[in-house]
Amino acid sequence: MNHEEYRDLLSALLDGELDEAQRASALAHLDECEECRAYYAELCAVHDAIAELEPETVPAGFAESVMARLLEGEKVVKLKKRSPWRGWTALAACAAVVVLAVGVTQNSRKSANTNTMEMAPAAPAAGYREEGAEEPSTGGSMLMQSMTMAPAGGVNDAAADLAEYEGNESVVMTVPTADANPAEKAEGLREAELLLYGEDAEFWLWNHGEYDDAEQGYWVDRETLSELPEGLSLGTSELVARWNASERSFAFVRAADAEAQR
Amino acid sequence: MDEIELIRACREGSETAFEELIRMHESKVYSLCRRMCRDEDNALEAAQDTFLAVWRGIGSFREDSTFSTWLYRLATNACLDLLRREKKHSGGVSLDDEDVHIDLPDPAPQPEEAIERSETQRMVREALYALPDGYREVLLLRESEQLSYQEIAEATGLELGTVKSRINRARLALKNYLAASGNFFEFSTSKAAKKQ
Repeated sequence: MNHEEYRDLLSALLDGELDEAQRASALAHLDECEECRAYYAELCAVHDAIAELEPETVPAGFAESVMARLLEGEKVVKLKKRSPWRGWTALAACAAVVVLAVGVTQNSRKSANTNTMEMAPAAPAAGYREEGAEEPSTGGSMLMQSMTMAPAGGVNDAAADLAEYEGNESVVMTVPTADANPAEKAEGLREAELLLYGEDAEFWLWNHGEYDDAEQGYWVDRETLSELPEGLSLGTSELVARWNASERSFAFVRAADAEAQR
Repeated sequence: MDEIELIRACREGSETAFEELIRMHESKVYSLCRRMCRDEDNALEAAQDTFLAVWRGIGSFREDSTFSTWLYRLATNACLDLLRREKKHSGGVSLDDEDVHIDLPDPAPQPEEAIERSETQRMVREALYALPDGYREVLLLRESEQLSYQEIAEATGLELGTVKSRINRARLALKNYLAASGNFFEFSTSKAAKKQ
């Protein structure tokens, strides 16, 4: 196992999620590898930092506020427009060429701005800690300086392996390479990602979905996805089964023929 | 009434039972929503949405399932939906955006330790908000809500392997964020781990 493979293992070690054999392997590796010991210490530090966050206080009257919304009736929920672009659907349906000429209403996003960061200098770990083990005293401190966010010059293996993201914006995940066949690409899609099959799939998505230009696909809500017209289908793959079993209200969808060309 | 009895009563339309069910679980739902959403109003709305989804879906909840896992699923969905809507309306927020609101420290005199702790809290929260939503989701379910990997997989619909790697990557991203911002961790010798 190389360092990359050990990293997932070490995070799971911290969480007490390894079986005895894996745990023994991870601990044995930590005994031998200074780099992984330093990495494990950093994982512990992040764990501690979140654990030390002050608990959130539920606002007074929260339960009453839920009941008030409930008693106002479903009409309050239905009045919320989840998708402001829906109003364009009828216009697009009867004057497709004109709308295409006018342009597509898309989510405006900034250009990709990948922050790459070098790993902080490793701090020596005095030992290893696992969930359920005796908790050490929290005497550590963090040296605070003013917050500056400057991309580092290089990209280490760990940062390169991490999905790129634009600050708080949607993530561009690692996807299979261009030479992967369509089936492999489908398997590489994230959860709740679906392919829409059919001759007019792309046009239907453009009419009914919200285009995400960062990820080059469409977000479609569950209700709309359940009302596909004749000629379009999501297929019967494991992805669809997973989507059906999930309770997410939006799916990320690409047209299958467009996906095959990626 | 215990939780099962409350759920049954809710199924029969008891608003009193539902309100009691809210009070029983409001703390964990609000906590998760607050740490998922940068904006306090959004957190409140997502938490309310979560319980409204409970009310709407309680009829289909199977008693042999774990209610809290289902509740977390609804909460994460509510947060992700709301965050997606917010991004669509606002055009997204970048760490480089001059309009990003950063809470300033309280100007009232405070002991140095209190200031440092307050700054630490703020930095860690900002680092969490900077994570992609899907990474923040699994990390908070693990670190804040103490769910097992299996429970996180059930709540999010992700594969177990994906949960494991996302948690690892989220921790790494958080660490890199805090390191790149000029702050770094110092380990106390008293934090020595115990090798078993």
